[in-house]
Amino acid sequence: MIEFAQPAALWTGLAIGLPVLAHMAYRTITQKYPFPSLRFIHPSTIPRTGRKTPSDWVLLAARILLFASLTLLLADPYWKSERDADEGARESQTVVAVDLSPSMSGWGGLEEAGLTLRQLIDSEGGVDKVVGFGGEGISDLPKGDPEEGIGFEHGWKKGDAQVLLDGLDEVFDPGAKDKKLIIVSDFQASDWQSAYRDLGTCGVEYQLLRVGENLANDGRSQNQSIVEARAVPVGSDKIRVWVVVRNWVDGIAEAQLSLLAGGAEQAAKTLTLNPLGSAQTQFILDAGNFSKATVRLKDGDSYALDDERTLWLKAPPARNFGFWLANENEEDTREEFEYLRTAVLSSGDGAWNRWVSNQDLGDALRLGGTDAGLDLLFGLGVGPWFEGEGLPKILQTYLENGGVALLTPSEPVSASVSLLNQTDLMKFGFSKVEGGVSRDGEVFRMAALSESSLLGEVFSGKYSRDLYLTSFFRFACLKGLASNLKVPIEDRKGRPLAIVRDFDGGGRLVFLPFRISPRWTDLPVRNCFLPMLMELVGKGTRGRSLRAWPVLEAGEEWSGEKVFRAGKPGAYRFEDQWIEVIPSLAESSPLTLADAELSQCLGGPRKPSKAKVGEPVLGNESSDSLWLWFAIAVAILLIVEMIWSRPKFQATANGETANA
Amino acid sequence: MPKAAEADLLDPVHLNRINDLSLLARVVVDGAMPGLHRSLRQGGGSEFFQYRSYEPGEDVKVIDWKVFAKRDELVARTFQEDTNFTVFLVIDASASMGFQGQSSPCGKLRYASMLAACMAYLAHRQGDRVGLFGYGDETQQWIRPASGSGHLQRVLSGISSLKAKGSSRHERAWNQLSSVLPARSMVVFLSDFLEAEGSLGEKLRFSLSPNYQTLCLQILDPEELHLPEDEALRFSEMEGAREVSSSPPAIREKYQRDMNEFMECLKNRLSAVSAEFETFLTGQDLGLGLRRFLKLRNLGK
Repeated sequence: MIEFAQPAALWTGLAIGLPVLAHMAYRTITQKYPFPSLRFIHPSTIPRTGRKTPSDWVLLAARILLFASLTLLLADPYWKSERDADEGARESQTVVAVDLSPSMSGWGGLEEAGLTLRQLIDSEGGVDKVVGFGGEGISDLPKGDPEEGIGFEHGWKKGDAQVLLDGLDEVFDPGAKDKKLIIVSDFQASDWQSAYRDLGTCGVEYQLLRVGENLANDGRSQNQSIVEARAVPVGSDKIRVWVVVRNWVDGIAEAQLSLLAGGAEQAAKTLTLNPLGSAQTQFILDAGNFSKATVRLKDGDSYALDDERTLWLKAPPARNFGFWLANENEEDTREEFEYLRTAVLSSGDGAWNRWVSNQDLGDALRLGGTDAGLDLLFGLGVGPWFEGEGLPKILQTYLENGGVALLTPSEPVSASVSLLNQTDLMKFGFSKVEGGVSRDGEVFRMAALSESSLLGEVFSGKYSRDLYLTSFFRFACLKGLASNLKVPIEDRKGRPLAIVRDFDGGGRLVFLPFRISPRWTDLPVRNCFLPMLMELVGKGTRGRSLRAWPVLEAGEEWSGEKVFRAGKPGAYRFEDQWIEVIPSLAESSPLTLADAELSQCLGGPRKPSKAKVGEPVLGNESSDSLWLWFAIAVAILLIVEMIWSRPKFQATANGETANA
Repeated sequence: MPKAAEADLLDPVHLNRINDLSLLARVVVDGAMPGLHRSLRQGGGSEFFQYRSYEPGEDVKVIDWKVFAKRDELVARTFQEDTNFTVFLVIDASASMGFQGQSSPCGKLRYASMLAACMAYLAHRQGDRVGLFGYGDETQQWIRPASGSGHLQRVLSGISSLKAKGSSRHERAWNQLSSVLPARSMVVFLSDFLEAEGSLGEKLRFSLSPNYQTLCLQILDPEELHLPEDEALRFSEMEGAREVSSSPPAIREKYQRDMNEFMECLKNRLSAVSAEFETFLTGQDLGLGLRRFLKLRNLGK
């Protein structure tokens, strides 16, 4: 059956009388009449016909239908099936939405919410439905037995009030006439400040019940948070646990911080915290004694979730690198292999930050296997064999997945250049090998690094002297570089000595226009070789992070072969990783939105439009709207009316046409 | 009064069906008005008129010897005598003359054309020379007076070709006309004379001369006297762009009063210069007009 979202608009139906009146009081339309002379014709009042019966019944009917359709159109009609009507038999519905964000666990928020809900259930109007909302979405909650009390558990993911506002369609029954939403929340700022929906236009009346104000204990500011905690190696036998604590009180406070490991307190410290400020401290532990430690604020406070942080103290797994070689017996290749392997193995500290040569992973990737675990790949002497084995495609995939590779040319260099161009790995031209056939003892040196160079930060001041003394005896002159290529180093004539391409997936491809052997350059024997090499391949290397282990906030995900979804804070084993999960720092803020701000978030303080009550905005009936059909009907009737009422022409007796 | 059959032949309802003005004129003059017009002067003219029996004692020069040779009978030839009298037909063909009321059998210009054609035929039958001047906002037809059957056909064709268009510029037309009028002329004006009473008396002062007779025939549509029967109309001026919305029943009385005053004024002005004036409605038969023409024509002989 047809129902109307704007039934008040049906009053405009009174306008149907207008065409009737117009037809009853029909005013004569003066017809044009050519006349020989208007000398004695004077204007006069045009009399009305004063017809007592409607004239032109068909036109009158068309006009009445037009007004009727327009009235129904304004009333926003929609089709409601019998099933919907049955479901919508409920006249009114009151839904209580309880905020289950982590901040509700502090300052007694959840306990107050339980008591408030019990009062609501016991009240005269009662409660039809209870839902919880937070970062995880909306969930139905049991109303519980008032005699036993009502308890809630917060979610770990950061709260999000928008989830509730967007999900109101499912919260209320489609047929409910009067919809009332009671929101029980602490209205913590980070959860609510970006939420918005005009509940008035949705036909929902709302009521806000604030909990967790902690009025008995000077409000919500009684909180200290561990906002950062890291474990980093100190030499080879010590581990430093570095902790930052924030004070949310507008006054000087002291924090008792203890480090728990092996089931006992290993150390304790007292921090003095400035008003609304933070302070840091560190604990030193022997490496290897403990695998996990917990940092905790001993005294606790009103919000307990951020009072503790668990850390994994063991070194992370070593990073792997491998080689693709054409012929390891070839002299340049063998020397390159040795120089690079030694350099990369030397780049780590042997403990917390280690590199391991894992040729098995390199070979597996070369045979088309997965690239999991291979952090760095060297392709030495890239030439026709590279394409013959179908390696460009494998390398492309590896780079797009975040891998890092360094390629050196073969001889002739033109084969390498041609290969890279044809496979779209890099686009550039090649002119000659400088210092090649016509070598006359000339030595090429590196130009000064620009400030914007990739290596500019590492090699500055006297540390760059060794770099600039590096000699290049031969190198390929590259030209016509594509715009996606960078040149981190070049010779003093501006010719590239390395080109880099960064891929969208975080991968990086480095191409050196020379072999890393004494016949081409003395770079491998320079002190600058190791830092330059690691800087060239450093950015984008997977797993390269200042942190030893991944640190996730609750609700975030970590992708390996499977997906790890962070929930309760702590340290978790996932595949070959240890992942630290920390609570959402935003939830530690005691700030809440004022009532006026909340009112703006919910569309203002006005009452919901009665005309909108029962409107299918919150239902799934929008597809049943008849608005379009009535709009078409109005358009058709309007056209019919215009055609029917157009001036009619007929020939007059003197052969001319005149308005009839 | 004409007999019933003659009245039908003079009725513009019937005459309007005859497109050929030559035929129409013969129908009217020869069929409906036999004897009304004066017999042709037979005598020493140049145009052969008819044969008749030779009367003994007449000059033998009138005998047609070729007919005598064939039929062995004395037959005398008669010729139409030239009268040296000119009939000048002046027809107003301005846009207002194209008006035709809802119940009128024909428009004003058509009525004037039929009347003029009959007059031209009558004049031709009496041996007069006939001229034509048709004008609107510019001269549409200008045929110098002459006699003869061929000339009559030219005049009738000229009358047929008049189209009602433009605004009437009476003064300019009468200035042109007065400069070419020969002596012993009769000028017949056929117009609605709307907006013309101011200058008409001055321009027709030549009528005071005994050498000229002037007949002004005002052609009006009945609706110009009584207004249409519609309840409300948006009148638009045929010779201008002005429009006036009015209710004819509301203004009819004053309109008729003003129209009568206008016509009375027109009549007085024309009387002052010895011009004959008569008003015709387009539904009226042609007989009255033709009789007025003949009456005045006979005064000029």
